[in-house]
Amino acid sequence: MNWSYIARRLVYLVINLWVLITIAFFLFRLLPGNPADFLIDPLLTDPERRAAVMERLGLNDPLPVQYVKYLGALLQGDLGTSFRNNLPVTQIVGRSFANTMVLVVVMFVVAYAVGVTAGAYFASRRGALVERIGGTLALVVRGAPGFFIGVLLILLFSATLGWLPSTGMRSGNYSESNLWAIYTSTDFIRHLILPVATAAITACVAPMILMRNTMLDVMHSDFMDLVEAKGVPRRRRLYRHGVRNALMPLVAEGSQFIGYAVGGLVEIEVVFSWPGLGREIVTAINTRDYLVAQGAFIYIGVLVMVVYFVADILAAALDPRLRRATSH
Amino acid sequence: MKTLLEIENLDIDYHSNGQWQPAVRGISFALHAGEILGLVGESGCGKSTLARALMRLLPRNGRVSGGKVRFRGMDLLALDEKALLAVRWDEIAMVFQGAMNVLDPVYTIGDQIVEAIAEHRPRMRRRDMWRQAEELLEGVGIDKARARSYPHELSGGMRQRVGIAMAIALDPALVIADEPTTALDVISQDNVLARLSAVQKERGFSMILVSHDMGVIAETCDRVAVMYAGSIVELGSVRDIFHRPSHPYSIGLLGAIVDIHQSRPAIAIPGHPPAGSNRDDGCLFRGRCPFAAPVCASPVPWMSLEEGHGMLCHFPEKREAFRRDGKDPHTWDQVADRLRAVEAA
Amino acid sequence: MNLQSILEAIRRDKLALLGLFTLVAFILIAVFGPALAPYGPNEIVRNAQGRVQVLQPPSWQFLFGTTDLGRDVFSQVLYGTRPVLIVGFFAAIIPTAIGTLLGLVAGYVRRWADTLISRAVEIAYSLPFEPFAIILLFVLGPSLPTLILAISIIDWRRPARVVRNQVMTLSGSSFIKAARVAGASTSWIVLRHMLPLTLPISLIYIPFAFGNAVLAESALSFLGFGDPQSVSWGSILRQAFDGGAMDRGWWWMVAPGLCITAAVTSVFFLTRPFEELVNPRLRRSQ
Repeated sequence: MNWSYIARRLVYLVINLWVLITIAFFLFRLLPGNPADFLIDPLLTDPERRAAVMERLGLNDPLPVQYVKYLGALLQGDLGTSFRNNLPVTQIVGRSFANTMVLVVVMFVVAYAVGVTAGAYFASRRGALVERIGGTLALVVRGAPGFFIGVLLILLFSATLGWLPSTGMRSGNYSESNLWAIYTSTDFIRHLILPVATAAITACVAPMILMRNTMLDVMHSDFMDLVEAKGVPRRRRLYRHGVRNALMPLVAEGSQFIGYAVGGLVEIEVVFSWPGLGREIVTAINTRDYLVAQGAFIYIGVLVMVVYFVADILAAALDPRLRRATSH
Repeated sequence: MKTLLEIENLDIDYHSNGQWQPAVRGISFALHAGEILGLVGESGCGKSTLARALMRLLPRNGRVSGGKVRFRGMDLLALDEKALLAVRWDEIAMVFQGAMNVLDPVYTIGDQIVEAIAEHRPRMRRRDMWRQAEELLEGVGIDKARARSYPHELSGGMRQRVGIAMAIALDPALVIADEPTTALDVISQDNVLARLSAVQKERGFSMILVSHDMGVIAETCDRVAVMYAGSIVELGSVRDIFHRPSHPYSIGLLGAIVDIHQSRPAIAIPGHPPAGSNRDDGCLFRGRCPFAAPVCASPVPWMSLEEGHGMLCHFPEKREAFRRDGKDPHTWDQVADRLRAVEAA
Repeated sequence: MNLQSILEAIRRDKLALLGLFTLVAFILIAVFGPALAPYGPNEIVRNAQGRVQVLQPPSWQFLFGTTDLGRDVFSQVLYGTRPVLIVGFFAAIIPTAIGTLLGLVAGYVRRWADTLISRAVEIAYSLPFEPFAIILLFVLGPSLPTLILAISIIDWRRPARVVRNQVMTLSGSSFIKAARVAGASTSWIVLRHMLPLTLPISLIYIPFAFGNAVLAESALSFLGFGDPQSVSWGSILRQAFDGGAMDRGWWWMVAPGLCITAAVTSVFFLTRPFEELVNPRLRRSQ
């Protein structure tokens, strides 16, 4: 394992994170009117009290100073306090983060398992009717908005068939308090199925198409001829050399797929009222709870960046050629 | 001498532009144990296609449309999947052209050699296989520590030598070397060729060496088959072909080699071989041949010249004249003029 | 690669043809839609007895049914086509153009320009689209131009990366080196040599950018951050979702959703014959 490669990716990660939090800092200050307004509870209208709060929060300081203080607070894990319920932002967002993570992880596993298998299958059946129908279907699914797929699933499984619940993470009469029990209870799983299915359906198309294309590439590349000439039987060729080589671009692009999928989770969480980061951002914005929105935004950004980092390292582990790369 | 390989009237087609077109026609020759046969001809003459067909490695759009291939008495073309996998590499192996792309980039070269061994010697212990791989690498001049290297960490010449080591791993009876030196620089070419010859002398396998480089052929082969537009136009010992070339095409090819001791200029045969869709029953070289006559439009017989030396031409008796006139560049200039006149018409 | 061969390629692939017709149909609707709509988008329809036609299932009168307030969904969809296509079109062209330009610069000039632009691309990839766009739209105020802006800020990343890689590969080729030796200036080489070679890649990206833009606009409108002045398919879906369409009026949600899917998928179908151009190895396997 080439440590300088890891070190370089780590440095890039830090830089990207820094840019992310800087963007987060400036995004809200783009609001028309007094930029300081955004940090104070909009419901607080008494001018004297506002001035006092502004002083306390250091909002009269010049922008660069505010920025430095902001960075400082972030490094200490302080994202501010929510306007709605006076709880620390980290606490509120932390809970949503866990809920979204469950969704992301399960979605990722399902989407990749289905995508890679289907992609390899279609590659081996290139030209047959199955492959052409599959390819067309994949395009149609890719063209449907995530929230619409969710709606269709709800209409089918919830409204019509009544098999699965359509909103929330758990039912009203909930009693578990232990974290592990919460996430493994039947009730939770029943609520998880539709959102995960929706997210996985939208997320599996890209890996599937990429896998199919890469497999075709690989199965027809020059080195496969040699492997075949060595007398290696078809199936072993497919897995040992075909899939192994095809996995590389999949991991490399995998980070992009995740980024895309996580970015699209917001609409799915809203459709299912899943209490995750995405829905948190929307409700926070709508209730003018800006600090929570900023916090959620940062959390999601960090999540995606870390995923990219892990994918990069994984890609290097899989492909020996990358370990020496001096530029990305 | 024992006959190892017998090819009888082999035809190969390629599918392109919606139809099957001839790539190789009427190939017949025999290869004996321990013999090195050179297949020489310009790009596109079908020599690589032929080589691949022998290992049944034609691409999806290629097919054998006629003829027989007998290897050690077995009908190679009729073997079922299982028998074919067993014969591959163990008895017939191949050294591919351009080893840059022929090694799997994600496995070490040691692993890839071991894979070949493991496929055919399942009872062997992995440790022994690995040791054998190391020995094979040393046999081609690669330090055994490099067995743990990945293909991209080796130079082109080294990768080609790995290809050789891998090909001889199971002591096959026949090795087909498809342009083994073409993609390399001159110095590596020399190196690789020397290794290949040495290894062949040591182990005594038969070899079919495919190349467009006459020099390479001259250095290594016992017998030579000159190919043009999918057929063998002349076949003989290496002395026959180089000292007594008889077919106008062979003569032209040899004339293209620059001899620094002589002051005559090199010859370039004007024109191009006919495309697959343009091939008819007559001599396919007559468009570019300085000695073409009207009878050349009819099917060409295989003429035996001396013991073990024959050519595909209507005029075997004129070969001395061919040789004499073929040395003169002026003869070929006339062909160029003729072609230009045809084109302008 | 002229217009004739492109049309020929499309004609041969039935799905591409379907995609073309669908797209043309949508464009026509975008232009003439409002004139064709039987009712206004917010018009509350009553029957002969004066009763509001609330939540009517699809019929000849109401092709897509009505909403919970008695509005004709079909008319709404027709009106909604225009804003969607406008955003789709501009939010496809603009980021592709910007991305191509940046890719050209990064790939040819290299050094600092490449480092800077590549970092920017990486960051653009790391920013999750919807959260970022939502905040941006909220801060700037949602409207068609800001929607286009929000989408463009993120979507330039793909063409930039692809063009950059292509340019870097090309820079090493002999004819570029020859041009440099002959004294050609950087901008000349970039414009005269690189651009024509990278143009196919950029152009093939435009349909995908369009698809992404339409999906993005729908999602943002659905989440409530679309242009409040216009009816867009996404906003119809929003009203339907809030208005209990899932229990009471499935047609209200399905029709606009299918339109979005149709518009985006038709563009994907259109690029199918050219898929092999971008990935020539797919041809070998046939």
